[in-house]
Amino acid sequence: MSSLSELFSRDPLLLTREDRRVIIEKLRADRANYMAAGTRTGVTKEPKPKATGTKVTGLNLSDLGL
Amino acid sequence: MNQLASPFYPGTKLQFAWNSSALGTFKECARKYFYSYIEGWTPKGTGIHLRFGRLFQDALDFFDKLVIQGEGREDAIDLMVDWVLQMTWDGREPDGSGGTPWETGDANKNRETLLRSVVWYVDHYAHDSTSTLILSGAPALELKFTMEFPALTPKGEPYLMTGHMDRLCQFGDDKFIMDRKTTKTTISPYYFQQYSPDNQMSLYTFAGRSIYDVPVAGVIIDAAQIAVGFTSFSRGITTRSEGQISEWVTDTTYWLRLAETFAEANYWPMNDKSCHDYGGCPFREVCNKDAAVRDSFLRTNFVISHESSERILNNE
Repeated sequence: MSSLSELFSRDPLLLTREDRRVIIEKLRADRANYMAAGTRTGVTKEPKPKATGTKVTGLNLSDLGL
Repeated sequence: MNQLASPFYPGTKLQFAWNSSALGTFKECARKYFYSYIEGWTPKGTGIHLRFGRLFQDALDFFDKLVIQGEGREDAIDLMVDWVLQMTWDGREPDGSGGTPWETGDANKNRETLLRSVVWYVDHYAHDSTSTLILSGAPALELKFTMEFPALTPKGEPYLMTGHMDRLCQFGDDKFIMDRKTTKTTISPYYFQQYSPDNQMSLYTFAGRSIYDVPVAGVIIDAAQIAVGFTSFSRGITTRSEGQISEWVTDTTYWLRLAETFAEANYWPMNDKSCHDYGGCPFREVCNKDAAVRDSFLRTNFVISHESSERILNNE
């Protein structure tokens, strides 16, 4: 299996769908590790939901899923 | 709009077609506006940030369109990744051969972090509460606009406002414009405060209501922090009442009249209280020199690209 750096250096016209699947899975694995690291340390890697900008009457910002 | 060669009247320095960036720059400092838009100077090395931001927006627009057109989600992600890889492959020969990966020299914003950011974004918002509006049978995506502003130029023609909105969407009981932003800095609540009041968000809200006849409440801002090892996402909302939009139109008219005054005088004064704002004006080192040597300093550290004016013509 080609490494990620090798895939990135290859002409994209020569990449197969399987190659792109490898790229996507690696990126998703990185995200899973990033999210897990935030959970283990208790650090919220993404900002906690707070009222931002102009408050909108009638909207529940928690619905934004922040 | 596509047939226009310039946002300026021919043979003059009077701009009649504006976008939020031009208007914002003029409000910051008339001299900065003069260097950027009238003379067309661009600081060397800033192209990667514009390209990265544009590709981030366009990749996600491409994904949104695929999904709305019925493409399966995983297929759409594969096509989006393919698109990003192709759009970041430079120097291809006319016969399709050759080329090299886009090299930015920037640890935060590069080909790999762009790919990471768009894949992480679509996964982060996989169960998004917003839904794309359908206007005249088509999804309200990649909305480029050119609209007449309610103020006339000295030639008696309406000023034009141009721009590009990523998406019109429904969220809860309200309709919003969605705009996607990238930044290297940590996204704190302060980050979203900059969008109210804000020139771009007011123009977009005004345009959404005027052009599409949609009761747009305001703008949802999807911000992505592009760090070396991760991308994080935050979403904020900024709204505008009818009164606020009316006030923005009035204020903008005053700013346009000021631009006319400077164009008539052929002189654009410095606002020396803005030099250290927004991370520092790129022309600060130009302006702090005697006028006699500024030209040589400009030619050393800047390039003439007129990219800022071209973005107006391209509805960016």
